[in-house]
Amino acid sequence: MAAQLWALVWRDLWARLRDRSALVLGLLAPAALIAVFSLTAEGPTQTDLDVGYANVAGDAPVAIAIRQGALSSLEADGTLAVTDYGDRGDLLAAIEDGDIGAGIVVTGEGPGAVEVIQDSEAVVSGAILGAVADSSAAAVDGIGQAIGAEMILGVESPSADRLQQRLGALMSDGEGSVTVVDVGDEVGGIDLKTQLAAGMATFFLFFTVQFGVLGLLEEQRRGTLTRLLASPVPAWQILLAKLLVSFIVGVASMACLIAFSAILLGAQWGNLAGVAVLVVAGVLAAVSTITLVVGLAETPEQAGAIQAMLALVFGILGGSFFSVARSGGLASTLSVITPHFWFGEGLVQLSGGQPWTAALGPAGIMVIFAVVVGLPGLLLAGRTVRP
Amino acid sequence: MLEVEGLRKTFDDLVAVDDLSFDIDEGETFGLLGPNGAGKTTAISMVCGLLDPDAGSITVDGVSIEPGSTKGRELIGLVPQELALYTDMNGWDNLAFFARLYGLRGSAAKARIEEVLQVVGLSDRARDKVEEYSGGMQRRLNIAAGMLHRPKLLILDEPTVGIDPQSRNAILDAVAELGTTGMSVLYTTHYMEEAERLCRRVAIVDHGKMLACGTRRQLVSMVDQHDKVRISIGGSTDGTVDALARHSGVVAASLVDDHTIECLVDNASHLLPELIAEVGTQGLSVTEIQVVEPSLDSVFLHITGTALRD
Repeated sequence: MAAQLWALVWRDLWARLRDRSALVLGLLAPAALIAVFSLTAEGPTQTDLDVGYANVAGDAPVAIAIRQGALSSLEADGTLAVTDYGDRGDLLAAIEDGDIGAGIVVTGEGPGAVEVIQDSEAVVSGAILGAVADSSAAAVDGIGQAIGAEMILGVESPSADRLQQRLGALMSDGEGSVTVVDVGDEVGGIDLKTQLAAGMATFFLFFTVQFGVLGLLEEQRRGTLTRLLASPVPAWQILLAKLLVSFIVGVASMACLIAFSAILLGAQWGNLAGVAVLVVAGVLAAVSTITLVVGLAETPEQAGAIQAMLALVFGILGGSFFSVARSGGLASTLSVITPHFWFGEGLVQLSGGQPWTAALGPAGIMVIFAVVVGLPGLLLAGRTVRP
Repeated sequence: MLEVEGLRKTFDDLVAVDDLSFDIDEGETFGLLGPNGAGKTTAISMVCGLLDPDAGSITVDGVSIEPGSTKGRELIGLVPQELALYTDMNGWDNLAFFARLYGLRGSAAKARIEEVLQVVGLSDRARDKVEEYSGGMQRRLNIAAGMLHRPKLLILDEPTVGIDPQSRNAILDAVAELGTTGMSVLYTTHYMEEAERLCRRVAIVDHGKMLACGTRRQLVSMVDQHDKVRISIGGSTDGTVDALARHSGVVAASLVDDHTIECLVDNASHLLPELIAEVGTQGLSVTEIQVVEPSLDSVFLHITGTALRD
């Protein structure tokens, strides 16, 4: 009995491997999109992060705080490439020439003494320099207030050397410097590459799983279903074989895409066992959906069209392309009915080194989805193989 | 081998099969003859367990065939009217796949596949994709897949529909050969000549009902039709017509032209030597004899009042 089941499964898998349809839709297309999206989501270009510095205020504390503090540390960690200019005019010319995206000019002391100039497209570097200016000014101001307080209390006598000394200590501690956290690359605890990879993988999953269950309608049209049903193979095995093909193709597609995005693009999926739980639950949800579609449709084309429509709607609502859930409104509410959303939510739960059990909640919801959609699907699709 | 008793199937208001009963002996080729829409395919679908009958029973080699049960399925081989093949696979792989479903594996499967390919004349094209086959070759492979597991009863549902005469002949030859192997065959067709050529007994069905069943001769006798024997004589026919008309077994004799006499007889094959001898007693010689037996077409026309429609 098992031999017959696996003969059915293997025939379908072999046919899909040979015509390369599963390979294209389940692996190549999503992998290509993941790669393209990842490359475009690499963040600011090098030109954006080339910045300039011009100091016309001599040894003003804020100038020291900016150049030796924040800018220096950002330059050291590779966030910024800083070029020093003699005056504001040179820096402005460099921005206009496109040599740098933004620059910071120290003109003196006190409010308005630090100027940030940026090209309209250099949003990121402009924002970083703005933060550098604010934090440095705040640091100098804080030290000044502290020395003032000490003077009032008679602890210390005010002197420029004392201010320089404190400022130097602050710089060496690293305090007051700006730390660039790539908040744009983080969505709900998982990095953008992982989110893109997960989005594409789940989006294409709903196409990939068609290759099994949809075969029921194809066999019916081809006439081979009649021969299968006339054979000693129980009808339920024929249906089960189609479900297994969908499941196997779905899991294989997801596994390959996860490996591809992790190894080649650096996506961080989290605990592997947890990801496996999410994949199995997600594939079950996708298989249940195509089963219901096949149960409702009359022809393979009709089923394919309905499934494509569902895949697109679920993909958009579930956040395969962008996060609808964070946009609020009805779309946000509807997003929680999609397995795509819960797959992403599961990855969020797994982020930060959480154990595999963190994925059980979202996986459970996907399994509930699979049961709710899959049971009527099985009843309807089962009519195809009943006498 | 097959016993069908009181089979009935309705689809809403349409009675597709109505109280159909027949049986097939071991090694017999039995024909279900009727126009399209007569209920033949519905009947064999029930015999194979693909359709749930409203009433009646089906037994193959003593095993009751129940819809939804696989019991007795291995006893039946089905060759559906539609091609039931994976056209993206080659002929051999198709047969190997269907063999596995029937539990045939390894060298036994290989030997049997070679055997059936030989029977249908496709040995040299076994490794070609089915989509590259002609319509006739696909039909032949369809038959090979049905007989692969050596079923006791092979059901062929209009296997020659829509193919060229050469392929049709090849299929009819293959089916005729099956009859010699001891396999029972249920053959549905709307071609009279196929039923006459292949089947020992034929059931005529229309509108779901069986109208008549028997050997061709039994069916012909039911409608009171006679064989025609045309005898061409080398010489004068004077007196010979009357002599033949008086002969036992001759219903009537008449002159067609100066040298040809037409006799209506009950059984031409038995009577032919006597008729030739009778002509000899008249001192004449027979130059040509033509026997025309009544066809099932005329039987169908007699029973239904209409010619067998396509």
